[in-house]
Formats: sequence, C-alpha cells, structure tokens
Amino acid sequence: MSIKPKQLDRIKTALVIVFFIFVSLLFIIPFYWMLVSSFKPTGEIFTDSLSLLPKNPIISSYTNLLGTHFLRWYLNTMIFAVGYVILGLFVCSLAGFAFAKYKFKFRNLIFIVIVAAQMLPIHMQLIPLFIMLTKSGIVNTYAGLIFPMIANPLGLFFVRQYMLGIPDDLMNAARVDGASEWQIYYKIILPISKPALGAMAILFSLFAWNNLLWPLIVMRTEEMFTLSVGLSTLIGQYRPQYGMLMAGSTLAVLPIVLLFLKMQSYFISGLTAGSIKG
Amino acid sequence: MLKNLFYNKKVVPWIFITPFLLFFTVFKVWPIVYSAYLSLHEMSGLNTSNFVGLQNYFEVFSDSDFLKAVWNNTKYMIGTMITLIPIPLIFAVLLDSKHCKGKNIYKAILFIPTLTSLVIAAAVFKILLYEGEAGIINTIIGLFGFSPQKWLISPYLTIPSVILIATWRWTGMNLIYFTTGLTGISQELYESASIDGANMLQRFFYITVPLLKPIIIFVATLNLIGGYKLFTEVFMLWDGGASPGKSALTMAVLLYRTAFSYFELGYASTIGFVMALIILILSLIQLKITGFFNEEE
Repeated sequence: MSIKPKQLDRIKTALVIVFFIFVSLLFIIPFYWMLVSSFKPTGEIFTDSLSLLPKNPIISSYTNLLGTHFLRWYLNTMIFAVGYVILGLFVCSLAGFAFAKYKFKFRNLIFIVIVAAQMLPIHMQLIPLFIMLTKSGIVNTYAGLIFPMIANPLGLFFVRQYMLGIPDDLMNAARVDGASEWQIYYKIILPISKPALGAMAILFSLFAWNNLLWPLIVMRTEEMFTLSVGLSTLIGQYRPQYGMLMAGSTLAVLPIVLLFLKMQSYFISGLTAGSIKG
Repeated sequence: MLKNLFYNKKVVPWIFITPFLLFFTVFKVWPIVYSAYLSLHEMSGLNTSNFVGLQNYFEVFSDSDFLKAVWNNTKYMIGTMITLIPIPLIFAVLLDSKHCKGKNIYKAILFIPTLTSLVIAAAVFKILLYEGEAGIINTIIGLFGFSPQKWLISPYLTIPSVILIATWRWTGMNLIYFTTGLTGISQELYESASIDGANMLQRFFYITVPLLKPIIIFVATLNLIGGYKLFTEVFMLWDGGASPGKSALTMAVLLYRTAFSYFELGYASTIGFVMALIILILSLIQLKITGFFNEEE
C-alpha cells in the first residue's frame, strides 16, 4: 500500500518539526546549564550532570558576586555601550550623511581609504593604541576605551548606504524653507534614518557588551574592567570560581537576550550589515 | 558669521566629516604607521627601545610558536568552514520549506547564541566540556555509545572543542544570511523542477546551491577571516591561552602574550603586522571574488 502524497507531506512536516525541536534543545542546553550551574555549589557543578535541577540550590554565587567589583563592571560596560553608541552614531551619521548627500573634492578617495581600513584587523593597532593611550594618560579611562572606537568604518558605510536612498527632494524642500544644512541633518535626515541608526546602535552595543580583547588592553585596574574582562578574571589560575562565573554570565546575558526579543529586526539588520553587496 | 557656514553647501560636508576623519586618523590610521615603526624596534616595556631593522621579521618567520599559531588558526578555520557552512545551509533550506511550522521561533533560538559574549560562551563550555564522565557533552555522546573524551586536555581535542563552540555560536548567524538569500529564489523554479521530476536532493544541488553561491562565498570569506582572529575562546578556556602542547595557540593569543606578559612590544607589533597582512590578503581575495566577480550566470 503506497502512502498518499498528503500523508507523506504530514510525515515530512512532523519529521522536520521534531528535528528542529531537538536541535533547539541542543542549542538551549548551554544557557540552561549556565542558569542551573549558577545555583549550584562548585563541587556539584562538575559532579552532578544527570539531574535537571540543582540538588542543593544556593544563591551564594550571586551574593558573592557583590563582593567582587561585579556591579562596577556592569556599570562600566553600560557606560562603554552608551558612550560608544552616542558618540559613534553622531560621528558616523554626520560623516555618512556628508558622503551620501554632498559632492566634495576627494570624496571618493577618502571613502575608499576608510573602507580599506576596515579590512585591517584591529590587532595591528592594539599595541600602538596601548602606547598612545598610556603616554597621553587616558589608558584605563572611559575616554581611552571609547574614543578609539567611534570612527567606525562599518558604521559610516552602513549609514551612508541607507542615506543614499533618501530622496534629495526632501532636502531641497527644506532648503527652500530656509533650513541650514545642519537643521536638515538634525531635523529631517536623522529621524528618517532610524532603521540604520538602530542597527548600528545594536552593533556598537554588542561590541561594548561582549568584546574582550579591547577592554582587556585598555583597562588596567579591576574597578575599570568591563563585564567581559571581569568575568574572565573569575577563572583565574588559583581558585576558579565557576559558580560566580555562571551567575555573572547569567546576569550579563539577560539584558541582551531581553533586548533581542524586543528588537529582533534591528539586531539582525545590524549584525548582517555589510553583507549582501552592502 | 559662523552660522552662515552651515548654509554653505560647499563647506558643510567638510565640517560634517571632520569629527570622523579626526578620530579616524588619530586612532585608526596613525596606529598603523606607528605599528610599522614599532615592529622595527626591540622593546622591553614602554621606555626601552632599540632600532633593529627587519630583525623581528626574520625572527617571526622562524619562530616555532608563531608558525604553530598560524597552523592552529588554519586548522580552526578549516574546521569551522566544514561545520559552519553546510549545517546552517541545510537548516535554512529545511526551515524555509513548507514543512516547517513555527520557523521564526527556531530561527530566534538558534540565533541567540550569536548575541552572547565569547567570554560567556567559553565559560559555559568550559563546564560542558569537562572531561570526566559527568561532563554534559560526555554524557550526551555517552548516549550514543561513545566513551568520555578529554576535551580540553588532549592536544588533539583542543581545536575541535573550540570548533564546537564556534558552531554553536555562529550557526544562527549564518542561518540568517542563508535564509535571507533563499528569499531571493523564486518558488517557481522549484515548482517547474518538481514537475520535471527532480527530487529534493536534485533541487537542492542544482537550484539552491548555485543560486546561493554569492552568499555562500561571502559567508565563507567571513569565516576565513574570522578563523585567523581567534582569541577569546582560547584565552578563556585555557587561562590566558596556555593550551596543552600549544595546540590551540593562535596568532592573537601569541600577540597578547608577547606584549603583555613578556612586554616585548616591538616583537609583538611585528606579529600584529604579519597577522594583519595575512588577513588583508584574505580580505582582498574576498573582494576579488565577490566584488570584481562579474556575473556570468
């Protein structure tokens, strides 16, 4: 007896759904384990794998975090994110606007140089930047952390690309009404560019929140660490504090996940920026 | 009056690009020049420096640590190429098919790991990859009949461990790239192929893959370049990057260690320079293939 096409379809659908449920569970395991481990004493984290819930739940991992500079790390990371977003968006959108909507000498040449710079990895600039920041006294400061990052070629490129699609008529109409170019930028172009700005804001925020190498180099004292750096010190050589590490990780991941669930499209747009032919 | 400048369409663009150009020149361009300068010196700490010409470069290319690092980066890159293209691609096709209900939920779940910090990802996997029987990964493979593996301990399993983390973390991202690409393929193509008798596999290999080629190449190049920047996972999994037998030593980890543990800032700059050169060449290959590649299709 052969299977009718409709039944075959249903079987295929069932198989696909089961498959993805299985895969989703696999992908969720690390998060689940992180959460559960944050409530386990360190000994239990490594010995007790088969039970889904902690046998002797504790909250000391969380309370012990308060004894470290964890709250300060959280604050530093937020300052980094906010500062980077505000300054970075301002600088990149202003320049992106200029490149998109004005003709000026050397415009294309300068643009090419900027795009080319994006191809070089930051690793080349790490040590010179470290020396420069140290010698000018802004190492281990928020300024030293934020300023080198705000001229972001990707940000410029993405904003410019978006603004190219804004009709010039809007600007011309405003000029007829007597607006200055700054007013055009601030009152007309910026509000319309929210999708691009939003995507870049997410991109910059994620960098501030997640990146390790840059803050690791700039921040030299524990109170100035960002979350990434701070959490990395919890697995020190002497007594790795896995419970606290899991607690800290959970607290660090939570805002990002919540933000994502609210603003999915901005996340996806920002993270895939510069992909399919710009 | 200063205010009138903002009505001058010839002057205004220069005003607008100045902040960007200022920060760009000081913090992105100048360090490159400075880096080249530093790489020609031998330094220990910030204040001692001797000019040594190209000696650092000769040293780098005969440095067994550096060469091992390049090889490790390459192994990692190849491994992620093998996992991070076929898997997301197949997922994308399956998700996109009419058989998949609730695909946005799955896409979101698979994507969330991409948002997590690599520090956190490595921290969690450090626990999951525990080499005893109680380690979660070992428990899972135990279900399929495999014995517990010494994931983070055996030199042969270090890079595979990092590849596993990378696969967890970036499948969602590549999935998004591919599903976006799939929206560009018209359903009619599949329908007419079905009518002509093509089965699922044939439709996949003769329609989907060729039409997705630009995106596949793009994702592959991102992967390629990313493979040579590997740092955080190695740093986290092995306390500053001291992997067993240097089996997971990467260029970035070596750079960091040379600069901040040994304070040889000159030599570290050289490493940075050569590393950037490798990545630049790979980026140019990307440009050539995706940008200058003229459509023959």
